[in-house]
Amino acid sequence: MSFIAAGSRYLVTGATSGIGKAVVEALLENGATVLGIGREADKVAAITESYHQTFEFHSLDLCQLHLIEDAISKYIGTGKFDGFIHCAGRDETTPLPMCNEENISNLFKINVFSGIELLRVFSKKRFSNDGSSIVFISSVMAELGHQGKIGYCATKAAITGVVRAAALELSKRRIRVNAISPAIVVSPMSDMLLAGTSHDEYKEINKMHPTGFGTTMDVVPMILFLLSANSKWITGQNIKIDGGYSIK
Amino acid sequence: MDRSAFLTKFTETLELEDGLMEDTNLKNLDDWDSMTEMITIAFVNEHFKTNLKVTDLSVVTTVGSLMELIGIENFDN
Ligand SMILES: NC(=O)c1ccc[n+]([C@@H]2O[C@H](COP(=O)([O-])OP(=O)(O)OC[C@H]3O[C@@H](n4cnc5c(N)ncnc54)[C@H](OP(=O)(O)O)[C@@H]3O)[C@@H](O)[C@H]2O)c1
Repeated sequence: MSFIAAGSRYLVTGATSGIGKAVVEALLENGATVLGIGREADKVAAITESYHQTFEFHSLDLCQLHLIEDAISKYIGTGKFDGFIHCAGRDETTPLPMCNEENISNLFKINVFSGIELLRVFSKKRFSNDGSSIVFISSVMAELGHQGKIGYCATKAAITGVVRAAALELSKRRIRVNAISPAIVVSPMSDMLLAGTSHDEYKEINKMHPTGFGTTMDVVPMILFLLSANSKWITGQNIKIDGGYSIK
Repeated sequence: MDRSAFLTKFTETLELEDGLMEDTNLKNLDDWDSMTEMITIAFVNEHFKTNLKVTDLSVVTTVGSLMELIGIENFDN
């Protein structure tokens, strides 16, 4: 059963990699039209070729917040959006002695501030339909802690606050805003993280996931459900998809 | 970076009472543990724009060997 209405239109950030790329592919397979944002166009060259009528890619450094509105207005001539999924994000280890204004605010810029700016632009009546759905990717780290992850945990917790407040602000137009919080999902981001662990640490981290590490296809169905009308009574929530990581 | 500036900054970051020397064996430090390793990697990556991982420290013993890992060409004198 497909949750996604053919012909519906979505804005996806992080479209070039990991979770975002998997969301783009699933939406396109379901007949949706997608504007994908990322920085490296060659990572989606195959998708652009296969779906040249329904997929458009815009290369943009989302830390350049002032460029976001212009990028979206250029695309909108062909119709308003029905949903937005913010998958762009970065992980960085910032142990307390190394935390400084620059590295923490850089993490906030991509993980939170770009999301707020996209939300501001997306939620304008001329860009989105009433009843649209927005999904942010938080993390189990929003509620749990991990040494060295002050910056990352802070940004992921901030997202859940953004989601709750925005859900209330946008409820008048029946626009819903939710977050999902995955534990480790195999992707270029988690590959980088795990590459820096010893064999024993790797085994330890794996054991913290009672049903093993996730794949992008373990989180995409929930995102599609949250985008669809089947979830129209769900808003302002943060849904954990973590193979049991957070219940131990 | 200047070698002595590196030693001073690194000593400060790890909050050590005795200043680090190039021949100090990091792994013999009382406080050396997984958190200190993480701080060391974050310190190096921040100052040298490298992309080292904690596992790269397996070859490191002395501060000098860490400097070799970073690349001696990155130190002025
Ligand atoms: N993978 C996990 O285990 C996991 C777990 C919990 C939460 N998450 C969250 O899920 C989201 C997606 O993670 P992922 O695993 O798919 O990561 P990923 O494979 O590293 O992909 C990150 C995406 O973000 C984009 N991006 C990063 N900085 C950007 C910038 N300044 N401007 C525009 N785009 C930028 C990248 O674009 P380019 O490559 O084109 O630069 C890429 O498409 C992140 O928010 C992450 O924190 C991931």
